[in-house]
Amino acid sequence: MNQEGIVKLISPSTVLERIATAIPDDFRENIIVIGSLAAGCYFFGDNPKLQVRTKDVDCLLAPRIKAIPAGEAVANRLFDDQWELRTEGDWGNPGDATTPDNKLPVVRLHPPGSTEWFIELLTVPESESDLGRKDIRIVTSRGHFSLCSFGFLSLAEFEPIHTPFGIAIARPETMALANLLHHPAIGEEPMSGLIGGRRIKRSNKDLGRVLALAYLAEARQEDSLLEWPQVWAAALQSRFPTIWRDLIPKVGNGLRQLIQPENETDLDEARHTCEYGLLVSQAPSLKLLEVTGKRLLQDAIEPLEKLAKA
Amino acid sequence: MKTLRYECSIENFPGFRADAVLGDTVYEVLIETKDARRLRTTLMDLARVVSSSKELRHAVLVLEEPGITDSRLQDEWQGAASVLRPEIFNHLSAMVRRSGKWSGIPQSPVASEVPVLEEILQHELSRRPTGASRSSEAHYEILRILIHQWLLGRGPLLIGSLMEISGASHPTVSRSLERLEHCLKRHSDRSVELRIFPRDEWARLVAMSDDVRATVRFVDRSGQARSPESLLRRLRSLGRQDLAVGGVWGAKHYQPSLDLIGNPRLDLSIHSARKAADLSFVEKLDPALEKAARRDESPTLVIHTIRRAQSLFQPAENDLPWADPLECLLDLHEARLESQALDFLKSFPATKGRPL
Repeated sequence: MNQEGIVKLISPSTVLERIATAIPDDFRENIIVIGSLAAGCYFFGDNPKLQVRTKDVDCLLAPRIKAIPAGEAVANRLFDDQWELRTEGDWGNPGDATTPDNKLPVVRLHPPGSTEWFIELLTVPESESDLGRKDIRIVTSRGHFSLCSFGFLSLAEFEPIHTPFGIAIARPETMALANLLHHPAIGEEPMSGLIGGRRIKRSNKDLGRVLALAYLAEARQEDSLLEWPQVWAAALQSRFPTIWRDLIPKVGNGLRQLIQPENETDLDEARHTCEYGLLVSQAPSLKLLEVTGKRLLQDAIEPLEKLAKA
Repeated sequence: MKTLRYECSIENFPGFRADAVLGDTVYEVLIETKDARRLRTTLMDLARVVSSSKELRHAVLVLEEPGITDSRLQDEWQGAASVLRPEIFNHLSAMVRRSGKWSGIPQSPVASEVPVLEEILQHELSRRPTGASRSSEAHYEILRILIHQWLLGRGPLLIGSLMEISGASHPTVSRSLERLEHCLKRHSDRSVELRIFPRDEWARLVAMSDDVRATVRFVDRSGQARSPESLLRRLRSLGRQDLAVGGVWGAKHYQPSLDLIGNPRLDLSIHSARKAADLSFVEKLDPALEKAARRDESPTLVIHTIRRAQSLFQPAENDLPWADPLECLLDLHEARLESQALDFLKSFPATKGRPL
């Protein structure tokens, strides 16, 4: 099995604390953890028995104006503390002054003595029209790297949740919204590595994440999805002040496609990624994911669509 | 432009009147049929229309909430295919509506066909008598109305009022009253009331309650069931007045001191002239709910159909109405809450201090 198929279980709060202590004090407030680890901390951070299966811990540096100094300071501190560059894949070696921006590697660092997980530094797009991938050069003691921004990452910056460790985690609602907007249709692009031994489409993995977040939100508090449209509307209006109405009709398209009976193969890929990710402790059935998708449409997406028309 | 015509005679087919005709297509409608023989006969009638008429080239059998499974329908369809000439059979189709959703044999209707099918169906349903139509169902409607009146201590009821509330004809009401004669008090102004609680009739009603009230149970199929409270909150947002809250909620509304803790399920009554009421709203309460396949599955939602002309729902200000206390009592029995049902029954003015 490919190495990426063997991802170990980690305790979200333990890893979050480890990262927080490694970040220089001055820049902790500029870090927002997103992805599985953020969701894991939010939903079961206080239950050490519940773990998540993830290898990458995505750290968003925000606001954008502080991203470059924060990225350089954080990377240098981690290098000083013997964190090691993740060398797998095509982007292991640092660039130099001659490396084009789009060829620079992203900062991906393992903690000393462990390769079970690594952090990855990202930042938010510069403006609401800046939806494509952008690489921002940072210069560190080990060479030149990219702080990558893309798509709807700025949504994850909206009203993050502060943790006792001094760094914040993104809200589940805004992470779900970013993924929904990122995939208005089931795309053909596969993930670069295997997940649980299977080749998975990126859209199915990300839309599967949306379903996992919605499932966990309902499991934590019944009918909580009914509160998502207000958060979504506020986040969209805040981060996309001139185009939010145009974005809303696209929010549900990918999900609607995913739960169509003829796309059961794609939904099964989404289920597989949940089973090998956020929902490792409570493997979902296809039926549960289909129902969760319908509940999300009814409780959050359709009310948001009505809001845009009002 | 083609126009829908109803109750049409057919050339070369004396005595037959098609339910509807549109252009070169003839439609026959069967509502809630459980009778495979009737299905076969109707198919043969349609085949004869296609073979004998020069103008009508297609025939559609419309099935509304058939009491026949899809696989059985397929079997019947194949059976017809084996005895009909292909040039006839290939012009036949069946359109099936279950819980508001259309499917079809050999193919489901395309979007443009659905409005025509709905119009034909509505026309056919509007021709059906409102209120209880079958005599045994009518009897149990009349029995429930009389017990309801008696329990609440409302005194005698004119036979005319009984007809109005039940939607039943005078002969049907008369037959039912004859059956209840032994526990009835008749008055000179053509009004009637119960003298005593009709124990035997009540026991029969409780035993037949599922059939009489066309009870449908819904169970969660996702593994993450919504609570009855959540279903009720969502139901309120629909603003329907043809749905009323019964069961434990209803019983506690009428008798707050009743020994009932928690709400294991939500019981609703729906006021509908059709025995198979349109339950498509259930998906809006929770897309995880599906009809229970077995009686012993624990339902989250149970729906009972009230077919009489007047629902007897108790209105609530800016809220859903309440099912009448008798329906709540039947709901408790149906949920096997027997001792609570007895306590509830004994809480009414008419039953206090009397043997039941």
